Amino acid sequence: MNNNKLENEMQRLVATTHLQQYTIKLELEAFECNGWPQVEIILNQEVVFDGEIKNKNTKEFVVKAQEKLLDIRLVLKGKGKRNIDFRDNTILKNQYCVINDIKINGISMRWGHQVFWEDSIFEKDNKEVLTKVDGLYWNGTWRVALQEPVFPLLNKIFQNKGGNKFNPVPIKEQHLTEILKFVKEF
Amino acid sequence: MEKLSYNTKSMDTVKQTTDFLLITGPIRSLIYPPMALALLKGIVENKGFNCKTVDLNQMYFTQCESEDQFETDTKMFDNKVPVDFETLYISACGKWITNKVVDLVETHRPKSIGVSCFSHYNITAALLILKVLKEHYADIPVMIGGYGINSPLSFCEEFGLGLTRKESFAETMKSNGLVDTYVVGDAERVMVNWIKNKTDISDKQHKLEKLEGLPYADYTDLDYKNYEYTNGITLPVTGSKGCVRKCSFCDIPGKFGKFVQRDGKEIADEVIYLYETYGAKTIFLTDSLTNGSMKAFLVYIETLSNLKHKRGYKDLQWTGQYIMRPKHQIPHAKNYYPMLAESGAVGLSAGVESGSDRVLEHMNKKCTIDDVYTELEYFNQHKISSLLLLMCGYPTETRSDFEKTLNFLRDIQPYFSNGTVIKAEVSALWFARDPQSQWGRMGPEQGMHFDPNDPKLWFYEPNPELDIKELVFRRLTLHKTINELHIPNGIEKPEMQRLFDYLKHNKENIKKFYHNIKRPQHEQQ
Repeated sequence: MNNNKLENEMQRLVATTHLQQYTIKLELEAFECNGWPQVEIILNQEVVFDGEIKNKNTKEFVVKAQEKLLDIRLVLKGKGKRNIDFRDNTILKNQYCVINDIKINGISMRWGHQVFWEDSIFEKDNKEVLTKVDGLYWNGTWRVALQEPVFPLLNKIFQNKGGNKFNPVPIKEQHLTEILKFVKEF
Repeated sequence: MEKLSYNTKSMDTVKQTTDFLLITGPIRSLIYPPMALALLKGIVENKGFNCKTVDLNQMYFTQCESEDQFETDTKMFDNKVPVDFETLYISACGKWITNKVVDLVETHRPKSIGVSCFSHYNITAALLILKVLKEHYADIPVMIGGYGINSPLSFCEEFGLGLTRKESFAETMKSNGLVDTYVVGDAERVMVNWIKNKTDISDKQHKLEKLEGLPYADYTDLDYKNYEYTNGITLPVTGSKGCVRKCSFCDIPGKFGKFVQRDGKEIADEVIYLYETYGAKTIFLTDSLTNGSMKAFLVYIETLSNLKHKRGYKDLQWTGQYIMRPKHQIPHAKNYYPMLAESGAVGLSAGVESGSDRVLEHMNKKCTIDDVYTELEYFNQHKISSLLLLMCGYPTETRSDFEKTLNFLRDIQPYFSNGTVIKAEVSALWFARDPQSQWGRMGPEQGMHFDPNDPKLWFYEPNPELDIKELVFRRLTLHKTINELHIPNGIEKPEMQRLFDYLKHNKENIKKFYHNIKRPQHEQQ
């Protein structure tokens, strides 16, 4: 095997170490007011759930990894005036759904990472965009899009928080060339 | 050897004030102070002798301008590359050690001296210390000890000192008159007798029958507040010696013999003592396996959890090496994981070694990769952090097995992102044949060809695809994977430097080795 072949084979093996799919677990908590929230869950542009969410409810899906983004959207639909009991300037009862957590392959995005708060947006149906929202309180779409490959980037963010003490350091190009030359000669 | 420029008085004309001076030199990790020094000081002083302990490794580090300077200056002491003694002696670190040793002897006037070698990385510096002592204080009895003295002085001839080479560093030093004796194994019970009587104790391996009742380690001589701690002052404690397992690649059963476990309550008490006395917020258990005896381990974590709770020591943590057991052995009835978390377990270091069940079975690991996933998920749920160790190129590892290790790294990625796994490290480049391991007892008759002077240079006939080329390929692939997945790691940089140096310095020897192997018949045809 020449150097290029060796490197190509290495690269082929390294490429197999990227996750091909994710298990997404949504821990939701719904509150009713003249009916339970109607929620649509869309993962990588595919509707994986469309229906009522009642009380505490966990939904789990497996989604294939895509090239650029892991896109998670939750949409609240059909909420009207009758779903909010508003009297004397006080909300007595309201229909909404809290996202208690989103776990990707068992890792909490809400409690273990900042992405839940920092990278999510809520876009109301009237196009108003809100940030740092933890649930579906209005008709509209809550969305978080994580850059692929998800975990190497989350690892990087986690390391960064800890002062980058254990960041991996790639081998010097010149050393790699000489090592490959040795292998070739052998 | 160049003469020192200052006077060294003859020992019979000066007043001796210290019974025992115990020194250690570079190279040793600075993540916690050397326990052997503190433990022996505690024992020796408990018997009424005075003892001064000095860690030249840490002292040299503190006077270096940077970590890089320390690494550069001490690299030639690593027993990995040939170096002549004169070069060592006139190097910045060599001169500093020489002056310091003389200064220590002049200051403390010891009646006897010990040089501790934690590992094979310490023995080149120990050689320098012993040469200085021999040159200037030949009358003072000197002994050496520590795990490292069992290792060979890799490039004995290259030092140019005319040393007669023996199997171990200890025997080389003794037969060349550089030490009076050495202690193989546990020095705890024999050290005081040697200080008293100076009789030769090198004739047998010393082994503690029980670990209870020893005085606590005394760190007062050491600059214990200024080590390179990752989590506050970290001090070591020993809970057991030896190992309950007999992993085929490991030298521990061969070197430490029968497993000895200390009472779990006593371990917890010492942990509390170190926290209260020295402010040590992290305790490092030096055991080969902290949970080798589950009975003692459960007592330890339960006692420590209770003491921590009772005294409000929320910031007290401990770390150490941990075995991942088959899932049916997990003592869930004892509320195991919550109690482990409450005891302050962090950074538990586990030798996973391979992602292939086939290789794990060959290694005699007595667990499967599924057991590892199970334990990691419990760690994740209970916020217990871990450090995983992997091995590349086990003699029976096929390419398919290797790919399973890559798959393992792929699948545990999520745990790096929340600190359940702090680091994953591949050390020693690839499998290194240890003479005291099961592989060390195999020779060409069993298909194992090896270079007696280079533990990394071997060839196992039943797995002919795994030659040096394939070993380098697999190691580099792991390195690239670690970088691609951004897997936290503390040693890849030095390991890759080591790979480069290894191939550079041993190129001819490697070629010669493979040339001399008689390939299996079917390969020749």
